[in-house]
Amino acid sequence: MASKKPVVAPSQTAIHWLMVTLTIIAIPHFFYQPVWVALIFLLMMSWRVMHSWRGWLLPADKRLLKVLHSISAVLTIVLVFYSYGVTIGRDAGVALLTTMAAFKIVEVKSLRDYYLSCFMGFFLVITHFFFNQSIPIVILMLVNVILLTSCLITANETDSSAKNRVKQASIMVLQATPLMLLLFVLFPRISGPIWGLPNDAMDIPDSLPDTMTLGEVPPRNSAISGMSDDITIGNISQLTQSDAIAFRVKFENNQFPDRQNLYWRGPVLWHTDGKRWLPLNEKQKKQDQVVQLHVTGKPTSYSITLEPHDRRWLFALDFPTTYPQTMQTQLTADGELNSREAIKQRVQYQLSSHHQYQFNPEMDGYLGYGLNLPDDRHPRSQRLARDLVEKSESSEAYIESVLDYFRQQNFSYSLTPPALRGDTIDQFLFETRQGFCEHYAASFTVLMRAAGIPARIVTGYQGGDINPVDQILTVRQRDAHAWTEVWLPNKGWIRIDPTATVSSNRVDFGIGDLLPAERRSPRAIANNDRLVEMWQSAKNNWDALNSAWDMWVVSYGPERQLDLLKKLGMQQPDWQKMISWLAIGIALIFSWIAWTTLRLKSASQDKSQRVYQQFCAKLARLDIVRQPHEGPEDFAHRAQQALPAYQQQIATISHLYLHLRYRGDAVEEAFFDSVKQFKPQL
Amino acid sequence: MLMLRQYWQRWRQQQRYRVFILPSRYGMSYAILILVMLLGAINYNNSLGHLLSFLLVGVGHVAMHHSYRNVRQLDYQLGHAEPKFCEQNILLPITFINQSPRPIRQLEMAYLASPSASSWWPFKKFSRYVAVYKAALIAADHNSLHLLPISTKKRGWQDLGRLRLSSVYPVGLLFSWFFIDINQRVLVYPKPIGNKPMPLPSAMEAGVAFQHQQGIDDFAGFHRYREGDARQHIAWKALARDGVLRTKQFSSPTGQSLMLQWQDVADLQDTEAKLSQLCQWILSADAAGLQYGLVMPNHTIDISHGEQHRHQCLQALALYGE
Repeated sequence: MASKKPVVAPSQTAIHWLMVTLTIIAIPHFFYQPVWVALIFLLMMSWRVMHSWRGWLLPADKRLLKVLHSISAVLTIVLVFYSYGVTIGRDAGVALLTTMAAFKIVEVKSLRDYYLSCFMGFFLVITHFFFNQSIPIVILMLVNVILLTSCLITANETDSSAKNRVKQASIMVLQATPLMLLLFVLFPRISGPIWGLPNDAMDIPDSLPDTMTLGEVPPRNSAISGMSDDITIGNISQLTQSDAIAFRVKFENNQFPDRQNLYWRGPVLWHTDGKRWLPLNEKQKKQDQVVQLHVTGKPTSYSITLEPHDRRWLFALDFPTTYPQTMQTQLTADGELNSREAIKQRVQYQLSSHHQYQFNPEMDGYLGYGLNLPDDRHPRSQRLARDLVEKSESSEAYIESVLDYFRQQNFSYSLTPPALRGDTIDQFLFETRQGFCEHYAASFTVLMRAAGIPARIVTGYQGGDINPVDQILTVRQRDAHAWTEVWLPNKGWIRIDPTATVSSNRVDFGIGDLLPAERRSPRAIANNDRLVEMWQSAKNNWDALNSAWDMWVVSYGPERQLDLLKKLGMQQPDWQKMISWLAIGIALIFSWIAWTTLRLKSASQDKSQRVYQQFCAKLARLDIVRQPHEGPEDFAHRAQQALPAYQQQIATISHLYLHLRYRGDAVEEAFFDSVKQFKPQL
Repeated sequence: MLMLRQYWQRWRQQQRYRVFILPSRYGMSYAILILVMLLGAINYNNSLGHLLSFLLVGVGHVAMHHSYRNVRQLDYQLGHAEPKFCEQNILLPITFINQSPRPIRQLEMAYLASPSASSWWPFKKFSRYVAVYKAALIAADHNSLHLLPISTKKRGWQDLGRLRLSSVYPVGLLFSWFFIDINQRVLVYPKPIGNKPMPLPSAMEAGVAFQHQQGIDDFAGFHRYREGDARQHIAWKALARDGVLRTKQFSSPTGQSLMLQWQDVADLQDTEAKLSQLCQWILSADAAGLQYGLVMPNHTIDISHGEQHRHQCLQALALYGE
């Protein structure tokens, strides 16, 4: 508004409220940010606290302090650039916002500064969602918005109690939720980004590596955190540490395949230097290669909701026969399902797969890669292969004898195998004999190639947990797995999982069965079966809630919106229809809130008082207005003089009213009727 | 449809004033904040960012209703302002009436002396309003009387301007207000100032018969208080005894009276100074309980006394030359 207002200082109460609120908002960021962000924030807050408590001077009070304050603000900005680099990404932006909000609070003097600080607070609230979009963080958002609203109220009014102001803010936020929900559902969604994202725009907590290195001991308790530096890629076993969700699967008609068939194909690894395994690079991929597939049996249809992993591959049940064209999906000749763009946000896609198939049974252009072994490596393994080949009549018999070797030679499945040095394959096959899927898949592949059978490693996930509450199968990072495919003439690529040979539990019951008990339920209740069961059921419900939340709220985007609106009965939704629905909804909500806010005007008065006011209103229309100082008797007297024709009626009404109100000895209905019949005219 | 229209018209009639509402400066910033947030949410495909932006839209919308309600439930009653002397403040009684079960908070009253002055920029006039009063709270079902002081610059009739009652409660993002056109004019007497001594009272002029001239010399009994009786003649002791307001009467057989004349101030150059001097004499004569009259160049007011008479004389001074 153009009106000039004198500089109004916000009350101390308001500033204290704001400080508490900003601190509550900033706390979650301290977990992601470097320590100095928290230190600077708390330092500035304490300065203001000391000002209120001990009367310390603020920057505005002394020139020197002002200079000091400005210099430290500039130094903090430099520090942010120094730690994060010159381009302002997500983390740098949040660090900057958090510290600057703290610097601002020390110099809040006018109402303008105060509002600016509140608005910075709103911005800090939205930054939470760049790190976490779970249900608790949304509850925190509601609390924060209530607190910030109460800060705004406090700036305008300090004479009611703090409780009342928070109550008022809660009422306002509560009344705001219908419009929020309406806009959330109906506001036409545009799929971003509009102007590009900084590199650290999202968190990739864990994901399947695209290479495999054998022999490294997985570090225990490696942090599963959002800091990009901590994401270590390269070892599948490390993923068994992580309970992060890889993807969720909803099977059509809840027809779950057998556990033995739950192999989720991911990247295919071909090349090895004896230690590392790598996929084909772009140059080696032949464009003219096609997938030849013969399938039998019924397909399984399902939809996958994939968490973002910043890679292009999509997971599919072995072996996908139909896949979506929406993401420009492509099936490579080695059976990798790839999206054109890296998956940077949660995506959902429909698939169907056949469990019985023949993959490239006649010819495969990559067979040559499937025979490569590094020269002069794994001498003992090569010798073992030669021995076994001599004893076998066919390729099939050879495969069987290698699996027998695993079965008979005291191999065991372990998530914490001894470290391997030197020739890892030889050491594993002949010395340690303890390992997990990577070890078995790699050594089996080496033995196949040594015998001239084309073989490759397929990585992905195996198994998953079915939640009985919502019938959704959740595949977590810990389900990461690696197996082998061998090519046999006229049979094509055949999946062989040597790990299952050693530890059938891995496939039959999933990795969960092999994990330490405390990963499944808290140690404190581990001995009580009933408590474990209750805990499990609570966990299932919570997981189901979260997966519904992720699907319907967090990943609510343009496609989801169209889906939902179709379900709600909108035919061929487009943005014009959304806008008109939105307009109707807004009109309804507007009227509803107007009604609830204005309705109370007479609700608290009793009925006789209300009816008496109707009587006064009838007279007021004839310009006989009851003055505030006039009692009913005086008013009646004046009205009688002005309207002699209605003397009797006015007298009756006033008499009845006075008796009703002050003596309680009149009949209400008589009063109501006489007011109703009272129709004065000049 | 017809019934709806009737309801609407009746409702319009009952509304004595129209409440306007616009976002304040902070409200505009709030809107920009939401817009930036929404753009960010779209850019990052962040669903919960959308949710927060929409929640803030909702809060703004609710705030609008609350702000409107806070001002809407106020009713008012204007009293009549008494004449004042120049450079004194006119006191306009205004009663704030809150019949609703909720308190009205942070009401601000601003005054615009000359609403007729126009400007091409609609908010120009808006900014000329001067804040005159701030009520932190008008409790539920309560009235509160406030005397609004309005300054006076010159004698004569003064048209009272326009009041703007506004509030930014609850969150300061919206400014809702309504106008009250006072529609009153108040007489402003000249400023009572001057250092000339008052002419001496003289005996009654011949030809005027006084049967029982009320004067100030000898006590002659009581009569019931009438408006305009000099305050120093009220029988306070009698009031304390039986609660009846009486005025002591004095008889003044010689009939001390005073004719204040335009010629008496002829030596003053400035007309306003003359008027001020006469005004001061009238007040002194009134305070002394004298009978007095006024002779102006254009008309004469006979000797009399009392409130009504005093007002008549002062009015003649106030309107001199108009």
